[in-house]
Amino acid sequence: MLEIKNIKKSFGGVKAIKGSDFIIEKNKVTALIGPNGAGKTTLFDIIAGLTRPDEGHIIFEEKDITKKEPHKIANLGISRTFQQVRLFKNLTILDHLQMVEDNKDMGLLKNIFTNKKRSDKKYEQVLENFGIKRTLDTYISDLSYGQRKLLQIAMTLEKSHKLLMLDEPVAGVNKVIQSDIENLLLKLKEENETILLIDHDMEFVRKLADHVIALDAGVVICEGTPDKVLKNKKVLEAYLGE
Amino acid sequence: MLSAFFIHIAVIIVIYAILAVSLNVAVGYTGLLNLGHIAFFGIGAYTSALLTKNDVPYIMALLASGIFASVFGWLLAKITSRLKGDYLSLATLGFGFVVYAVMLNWSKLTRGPLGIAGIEKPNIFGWYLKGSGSYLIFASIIAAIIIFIIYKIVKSRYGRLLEAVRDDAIGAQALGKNIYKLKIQGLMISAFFAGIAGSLYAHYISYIDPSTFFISDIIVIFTIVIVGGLASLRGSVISAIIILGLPEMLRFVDLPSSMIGPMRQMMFAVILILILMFKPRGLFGKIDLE
Repeated sequence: MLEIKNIKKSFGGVKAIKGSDFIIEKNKVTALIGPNGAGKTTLFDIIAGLTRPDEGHIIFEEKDITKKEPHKIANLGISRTFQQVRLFKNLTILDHLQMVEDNKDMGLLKNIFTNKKRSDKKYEQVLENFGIKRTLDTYISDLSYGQRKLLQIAMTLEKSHKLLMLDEPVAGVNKVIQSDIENLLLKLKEENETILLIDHDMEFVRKLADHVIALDAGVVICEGTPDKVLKNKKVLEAYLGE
Repeated sequence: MLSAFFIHIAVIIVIYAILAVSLNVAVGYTGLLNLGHIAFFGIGAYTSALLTKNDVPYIMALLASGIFASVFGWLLAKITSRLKGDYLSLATLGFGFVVYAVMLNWSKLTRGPLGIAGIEKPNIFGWYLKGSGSYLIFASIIAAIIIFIIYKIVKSRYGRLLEAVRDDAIGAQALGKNIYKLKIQGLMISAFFAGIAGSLYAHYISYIDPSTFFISDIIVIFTIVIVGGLASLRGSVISAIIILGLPEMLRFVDLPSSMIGPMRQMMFAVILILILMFKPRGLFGKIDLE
């Protein structure tokens, strides 16, 4: 489904990605692991079009998307979360959920003279499914960090998608929400979603992932089944410092 | 005599309320710190004055002033589409200077520093707006229509997108929203209504010259927006009344005429400092100044 071909990226003199190649298969969960600074989030940003690579290509469903703008990539069906939640602090939960529904909101004239009736039930159901116990009119600035993280995941899933990219979905949340998110991801695996995940919890990666790719200093040092990768000497040295 | 003075102040307040509300679309709702807004006001004023001098009916000239200003809004947005923060502000400030320099130096078209005099009062399908009272009614109707349209825009799903771009442009892109298109449209809407305000101003004062649209005048418009509050239309309107109305009260204080001008500037500054110190979001603002 997604092919990363010889991607290279430098920031100033620092080589963040030194030529990565790998494939994300459809209906599989692929985990991207590696120590901090390995280039995982940079790769996410390159796939999503937020960062342009210096060299290489990103092929999504046999189309080269390397130079496409981020919104076009998102509309092709690549839906992502961010490590640091990116929501709109002065807008409400309802505004967020409406935004992921479709792109009809992009039309100026269509929107200013039509008063679409609110269909609260549909959105309240989303909140219930994701365990967000707040009303639709709650402003993002009034949500806890965990609730924001949950809302971001809910939006990523509600948005029409073919590939989910989740950047440390449980980072910074309490144990209860962590467990909720992990259960949700296991459910998504059962539903055959295609997921590319960055996570530091190796036990969870072992449980969830079908395929693991280990990065270190911008290069793929090992890939394969979770058992194979997590026992690999290079991975242990780089990632676990053993 | 006194009522004529109040009507004059009221017309100026109405025109500046339109300017402030339109600036709020760019700054408060879309998050584009446009320091060149006064240029759109000037473009609208010159467009309308020149067209009516060439026998174009006023209503056509009024619309053309908005359209022409929004074309420049598109141009400015295109040029600055990849800029943000301080860089964007500086670029828009530069745009204000360029437009001012063109008004000053393209003498064949604008008559340069001499300005354009004798701009006729509007005649709208036989309603000849000769007196200040009738002009106040006309300007108020136009302002009400503009505020209604902007209200509909900012309260719509489209308006929420503009706010999303302001709060987190990258987050909006990740949801599949074309933020460049939204920024361009935000600036064009803002410029359109500033152009209309320019037309109203030109035909009210009957004389325009480049000094009216010098970049320093943006301070008054920004003061109105900040005191009223970012992303608040009601705030911009009420603030226009306070910021422009209050200093006029000085005329009734026994002060030498040479002091009234500087005192007025001091009042702007004091109101702005007090608001920033005690109510940083402004009177009705929804969002923080960042």
